[in-house]
Amino acid sequence: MISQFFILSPQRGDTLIFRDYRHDTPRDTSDLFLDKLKTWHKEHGPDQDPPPIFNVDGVQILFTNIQGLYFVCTTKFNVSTFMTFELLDRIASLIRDFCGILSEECVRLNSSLIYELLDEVIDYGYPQTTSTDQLKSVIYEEPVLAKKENIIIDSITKLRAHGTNLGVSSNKPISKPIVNSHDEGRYKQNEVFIDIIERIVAFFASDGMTIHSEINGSIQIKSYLQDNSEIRITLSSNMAHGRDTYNSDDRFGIMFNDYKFHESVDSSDFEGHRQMIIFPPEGEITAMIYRISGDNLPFRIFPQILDVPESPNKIDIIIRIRTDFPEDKIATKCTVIVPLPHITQSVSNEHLDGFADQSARYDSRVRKVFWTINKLKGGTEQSLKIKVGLIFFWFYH
Amino acid sequence: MVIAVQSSVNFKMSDAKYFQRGKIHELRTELNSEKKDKQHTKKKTVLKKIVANMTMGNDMSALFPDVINCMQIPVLEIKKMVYLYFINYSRTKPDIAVMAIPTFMKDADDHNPLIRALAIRTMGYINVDKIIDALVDPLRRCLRDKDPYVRKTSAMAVAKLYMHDHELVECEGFVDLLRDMLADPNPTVVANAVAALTEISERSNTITLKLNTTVANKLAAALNECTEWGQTYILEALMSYIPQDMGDAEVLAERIAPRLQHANSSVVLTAAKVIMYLMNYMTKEEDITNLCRKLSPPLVTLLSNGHEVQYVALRNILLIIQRRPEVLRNDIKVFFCKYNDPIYVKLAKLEIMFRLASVSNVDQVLSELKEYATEVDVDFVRKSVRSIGRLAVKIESTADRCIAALLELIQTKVNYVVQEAIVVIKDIFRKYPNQYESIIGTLCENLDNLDEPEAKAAMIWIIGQYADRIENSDVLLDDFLFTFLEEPVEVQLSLLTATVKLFIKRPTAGQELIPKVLKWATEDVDNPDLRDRGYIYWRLLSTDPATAKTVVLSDKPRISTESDNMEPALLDELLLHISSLSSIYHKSPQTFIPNSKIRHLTHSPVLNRRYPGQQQQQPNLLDSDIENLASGSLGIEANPYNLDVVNIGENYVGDLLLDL
Repeated sequence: MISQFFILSPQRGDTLIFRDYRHDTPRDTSDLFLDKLKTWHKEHGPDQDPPPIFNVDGVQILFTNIQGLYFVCTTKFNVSTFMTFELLDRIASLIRDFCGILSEECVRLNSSLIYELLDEVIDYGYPQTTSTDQLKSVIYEEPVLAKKENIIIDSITKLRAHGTNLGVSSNKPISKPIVNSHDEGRYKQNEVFIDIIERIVAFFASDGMTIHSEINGSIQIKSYLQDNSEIRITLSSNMAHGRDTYNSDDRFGIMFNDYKFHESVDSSDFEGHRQMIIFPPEGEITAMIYRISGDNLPFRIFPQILDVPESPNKIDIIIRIRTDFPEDKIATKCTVIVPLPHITQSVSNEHLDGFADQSARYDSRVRKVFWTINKLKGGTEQSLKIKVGLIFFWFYH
Repeated sequence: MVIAVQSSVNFKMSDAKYFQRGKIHELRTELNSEKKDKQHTKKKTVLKKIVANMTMGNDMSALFPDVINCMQIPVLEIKKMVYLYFINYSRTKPDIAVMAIPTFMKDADDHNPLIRALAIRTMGYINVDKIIDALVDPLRRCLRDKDPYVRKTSAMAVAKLYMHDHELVECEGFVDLLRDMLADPNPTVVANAVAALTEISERSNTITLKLNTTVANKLAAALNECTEWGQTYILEALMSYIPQDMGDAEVLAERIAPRLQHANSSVVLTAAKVIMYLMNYMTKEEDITNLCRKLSPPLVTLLSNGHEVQYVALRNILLIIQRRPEVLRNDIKVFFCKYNDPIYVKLAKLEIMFRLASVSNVDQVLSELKEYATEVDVDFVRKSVRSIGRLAVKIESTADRCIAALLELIQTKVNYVVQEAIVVIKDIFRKYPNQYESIIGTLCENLDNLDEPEAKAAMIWIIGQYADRIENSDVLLDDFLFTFLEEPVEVQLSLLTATVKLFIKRPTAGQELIPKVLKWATEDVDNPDLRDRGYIYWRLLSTDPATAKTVVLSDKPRISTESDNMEPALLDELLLHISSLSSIYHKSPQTFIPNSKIRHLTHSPVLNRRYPGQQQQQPNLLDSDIENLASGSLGIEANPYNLDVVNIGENYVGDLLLDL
């Protein structure tokens, strides 16, 4: 189980939060961590963090970088790595839920609130609860808002259902039962935000054929609902799960390869009617994550390599991208990345179907061309010609 | 205000001390101020400052007596800060800490469950004998508290107490109380009791957690109601259940299977671990196959996370497919490398791609590998080239295409690519003798650029092995021999054997070289292996040249990629540690965590003695050693193939993680 938890700010190497749960690792592990970080950055450049798990003098250190802050755990146990990484992630979102945002200033201003949280979230190195809903009833400290960000976080801090007169109420904290009763109904708005985020990962062969494609999606819910209302989400009924056989050859149906639900989701009716019943706790949750693999890609890419006659050390690469989605839809900020061979010497680009809203740039450090199209309309085609000059190996001939 | 204090860190040590003394004095005055402070807001501010100083590592212990005075203030935020202060400094000031006992006792009996729990939790953290002694009575009471929040906190406190004083916990019967808590109506309490028991059993020599079928099934039933973390503890504890009767394992696995759909990846992977474990106690292949099918989608989904989590998942998948390749056999495409994967993810994926490669998907794998071999990252390219060679050895039908791919890569003249290719081509020659020798000519064009010992040794082996087919083999060897004494031992051994082979195959061409080499090997080199081998050859050649010929040129044992697999015993152990750190390092926990208990598959009437991974036993080491001795190349040819190919992958990433 984890021994220590700390949050570090990389700029000056300050420890913003430090909590020792087991006292079996040295107090100065945060310095050890910073040393490693600095040496690594010196060797590999400041963008490259060291591997997320490493061992210093028998102390295992696991960390993750969240919005520029390092969330670090140390342990002397053979801990579950997934548990630790999930935990670090959850602590970050709890700070967001309780303090409004996650930033160095915010963590500094709210350190006693965060300590209060940490005391409940982890006991003796064992994660206890990371549910904002449950924690709300045992956390008493008020958040201090970082000044500049007041406006943005205003709505988020509504999460905290505490009254303002904590001073009064905390004179007799004893009367507070475990279940939440701080709610004074002060915030009337019942709001809920639902995001669907999908990421497509596709592999193409050099002839443009799709080797493999996959959609990783998640449904995220951020709820400010106060009365534990029930939300029902129904997905269009032509979706099927990989395990279902009855409509597996329906060519319009979409098959889930896998899906997972948050614990607040009642999914008993999902198999039958694609319905989820959710009692969203306050705060942000990922209600569902799913994976779909299939050939229905929204766009296709056709690369073509041409030898330039008379110039054996030059090649032209033509890349066409064709969109296969309805014309009224627009894809924004698309980037096509073209890796070039080792012996690339010079690169110049030429847009064939000239639309102003795109750019292509060659990064010689990684030998890749980055072609960015800000607005890509459905049912259209764009192309780019890359003229590549190669280092001429005259001694081969 | 907090930020102003911050600057003290940057002061020189002496300044900082001075500053601190002044600061402490200031804080003390503020804390003891008699000014009107009805809602204790001022005290709260001062305490916040103290906590902020504590965080930065400034020693605030001098304020202990003053902070103790704040304990009585009936404001929960203040109480929490004071307690946090205690946890930090009690060790250094045990005498003063004792003064807090009466307040702790009062709090532990408070009618607000929050405060009762807070007192119990905090006392458990303070490793001061008198406080621990004082904790015993209230703890016993709180373990039976009517409020579940207090009970779950108390369960944890027993674990804390145990670490401080084993005997005390056993004498006071706390372990039994914990055991009773497994039947608690509140699942969170059950989960914490389970976690505490698991830890005690991990640390204790006398107590071992063993679950019987009834308890195991009860715990599994409680899973549904638990928090995600509680589910992890319960699943972890189920690893101490040993199925005794037919069907036990199957029933339990069926109950756990829905956990594979949980959003928390820690729950998913721990569930996968328990299911993999239970498979050892299942009798029907059919049940195992069904479960394997259930495992694959959730494992693949883990790969859609961030790089850290992906890496952890890949290392675990690598373990799982070594025992049950069928789990992911049809999902090889998800392991294809993305251009922007970090190098540690790419290398882990390559290893998995190689292991999942089979006749049905080898075309795709090969064309991917060819792409990778032209990437920029040297380590990745090397490993890709090597994988192409290993693929040729693993799947016979694809050998032609692999060789063609390797030749193409050699034509690129990229130095490290050529060297890697030569190393694997040596293995291909060994696996398929008399099939691909026509490419030797191409290989010989690249002799001058070899600078890595492994590639050199491989090339020299090829020259020696085909000394009679390569026209100028004596000249080539002579060139290599020029630097014999400076070469690493690996190359020297290879040179020695190759020269002997040359001499036997073409006595006239080798007669000038052989005395020179034997003399160096036996007189000028300190390495005992080399010297001994030199003497063996010398005596063989001088006493009975005919026998020498049969010995040196005897058939070599076949090589295969089977032995790339991890040692079955280690694999068995690591599979019991899926999702933990040792599954990332691929090392047994004892090697990096002192005093950890060894896990092994416990015998029971339904334990399968032979699982798929173990059916193909590795060739008897002793036999192959003897054969290799006969072929005169023990130490070089006996197992470099297996070792080096596996090691590149395992060590590279392992080192990356361990030796930072």
